[in-house]
Amino acid sequence: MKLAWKELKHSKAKYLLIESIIILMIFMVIFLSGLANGLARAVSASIENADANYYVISNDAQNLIGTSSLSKDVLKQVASMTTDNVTNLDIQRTSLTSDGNVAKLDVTYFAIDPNGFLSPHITKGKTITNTDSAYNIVLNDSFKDENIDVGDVVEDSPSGIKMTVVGFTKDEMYAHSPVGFISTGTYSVINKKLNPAFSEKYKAIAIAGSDVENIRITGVSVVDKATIVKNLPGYQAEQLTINMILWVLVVISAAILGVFFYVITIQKLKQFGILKAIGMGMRELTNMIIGQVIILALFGVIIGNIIAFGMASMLPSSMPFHLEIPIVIVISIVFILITLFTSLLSIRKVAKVDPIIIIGGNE
Amino acid sequence: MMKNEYKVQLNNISKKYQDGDQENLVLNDISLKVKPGEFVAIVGPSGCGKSTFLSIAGALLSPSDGSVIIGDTKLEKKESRKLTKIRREKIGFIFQNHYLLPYLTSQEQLQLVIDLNKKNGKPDMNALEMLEDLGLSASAKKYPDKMSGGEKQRVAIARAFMNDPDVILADEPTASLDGVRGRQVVEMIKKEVIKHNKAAIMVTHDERVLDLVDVIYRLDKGELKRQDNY
Repeated sequence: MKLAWKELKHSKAKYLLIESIIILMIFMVIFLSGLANGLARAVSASIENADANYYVISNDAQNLIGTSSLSKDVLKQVASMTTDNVTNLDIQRTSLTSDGNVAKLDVTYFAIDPNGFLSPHITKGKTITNTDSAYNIVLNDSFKDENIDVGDVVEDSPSGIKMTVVGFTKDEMYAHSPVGFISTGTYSVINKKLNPAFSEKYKAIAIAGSDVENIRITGVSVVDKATIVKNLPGYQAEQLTINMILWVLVVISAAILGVFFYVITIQKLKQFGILKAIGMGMRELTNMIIGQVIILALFGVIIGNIIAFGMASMLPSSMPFHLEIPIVIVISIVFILITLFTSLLSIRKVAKVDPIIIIGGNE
Repeated sequence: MMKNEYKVQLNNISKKYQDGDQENLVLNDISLKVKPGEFVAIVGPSGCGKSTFLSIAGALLSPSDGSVIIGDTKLEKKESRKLTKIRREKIGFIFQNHYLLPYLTSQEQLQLVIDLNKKNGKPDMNALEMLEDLGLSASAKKYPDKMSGGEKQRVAIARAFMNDPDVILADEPTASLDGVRGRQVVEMIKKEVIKHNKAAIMVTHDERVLDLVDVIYRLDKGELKRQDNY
C-alpha cells in the first residue's frame, strides 16, 4: 500500500489526468441519476410524498389514477371498511394566471380535504382552509420563480375564480406539472362555474395504512402506491430509458478506467519485473495494483459526488433534478466494484511478467 | 541442511533450448563454487550464455541438468513462489542498468528490500549506514532521475546488500558507465563484498576491471574455464 501510494505521488501528472477522467465520469453518472430521479419526481412527486399507502380508484381506470372517477358516497363506504384514515383526492390539470399577468401558468390541482392527511407540508406561509367565500391555494415553490409570493392572488384561468396564495410547499409535481393544493370545496366551486351540472366526485380515496383487506365495493379496486406511480403517464418509459443509459455509462466508465490502468501497467512491466527479481511475490504486487485502483476510484467517487451535489444545489428549482442518496451510494459502490474487476486484467498481465527480462542487455 | 564452506555452488549445470528441430546447448556441464568474501568474474563474448548462467544462479531460470545450491538451500525445479522467496532472502542482484524504481528515493529503494525481509528473522540492515559507506549520504532523499549514472549504480549496489544475502550477482554493472566510474563501481562492490563477507559473481565483458576480482572464468561456447594467469 505504501508503495502504491508512493508511485501515485511520484507520477502526479499522469495519475491526476486519470483521476480527472474518473471524476468527470462519476460526476456524469451521478448527475444523470439526479436527472433520472428528477424526471421521476416531476411525474410522481406528489403521489410519492403523500402519506397514503393505498388508493381506491374505479375499476375502469386500470390503475391510472388520472382517469378514475368515484361517486361521493364511496368515501363513506371505504371509511367504514377500514380502520385506517381515509381522505378524498381530486386531480385536475389546468392553468393559472397571476394577478395583472396574462401568461397562463401550467398547474395541477390536488383538491383535498384540508383536515385530511393529504394536506401538504408547508415551507412558507400557512396551509389552505375550508372557507366558502375566500378561496385559497398552496402552490409548489417553483411558482416563486414566476414572482408569485404569499398573499398574491391567482386566478383559475378557465373559471376566473380568484384564489389567494396562502403558502408554499416544495417538491410537489404531478405529470411534469407543478401542483397547487386547493380544498375540495374550492374545487367544486371552480367546476360549478364552468359546468352548472357538476356534482362533486373524487378521483381517488387515499388510505393511510394497510388495512385494505375488507374493502370490497363493486366497480372499485384498491391499488398500492407503487402501482399508481408506475402507471402514471410516461413514468415507466422515461425511467427505463434513463436508467438504461445510466447503468450502461456506469459500466463503460468503470471499464475505461480499467483500460487506462491496463495501458499504464503495460508501460511499467519492467518495473514489475524488477520487483519480482528482488523477490516480491504476486500477492504483494496484487495488493499494490488493487491499492492503486482503490485509491484512484475512491478519490474519483468522492470528488465526483461532491461536484455533483454542489452542482445540484445551484440548479434552478424548475429543473427536474433530484439526487437520491441510496441510489448515489449504490452507483458509487458498483462503480468501484467494476473498476476492481477490470483491474484483474492488469493483475493477470503482471502475473505473466518473467523477471528474467531484467537480466542481460535488453534495454 | 548442508553446512558447507561455499556460499554458492553450481554443479554440472547444463541448459538446453529447443530451437526448431535442433537442440541448442547454451551451457554445457558447468560447475562453479564461490566462498564467502570471494569475488568472481565471468567474462566472455556476447551471446556466450552469460545471461543464462546468471539467471540460473539467480533463481530466475531452472537448469536442464545439474544443481544449484545457494547458502544451505538446494534449488531444484521448485515452484516459482519458492524461487521468489529465495531471491528475496538469499540473493542480491546488481542489474546492468541499475534498475532502480523511479518513484522511490535512494533510502526508500533500500528500505523496500529491508521491509520485504522483515519476517525472515535476520537482523535488519541499516539503509542510511550503507548509503554513507558508499558515499551516497547526500543522495538519500533523491529520486533516481536526479542522480548521475554512477550514483544510481551505487544505490543499486547498496540495495543488493539490504537483504543480507548469501550471494551477490552483478550483471554487467559497468555497462552504462564510462571507464573511470565503472572502475569505481566495481571497487565498491569489492569493498562491500569483503566487508560483509559475501560470495559475489560478476558477469562482465569489461576487461579493464578484471584486476579487481579474485578469480576469473571465461565462458565460451557453453563451457566455463578458469583463467589463472590474467
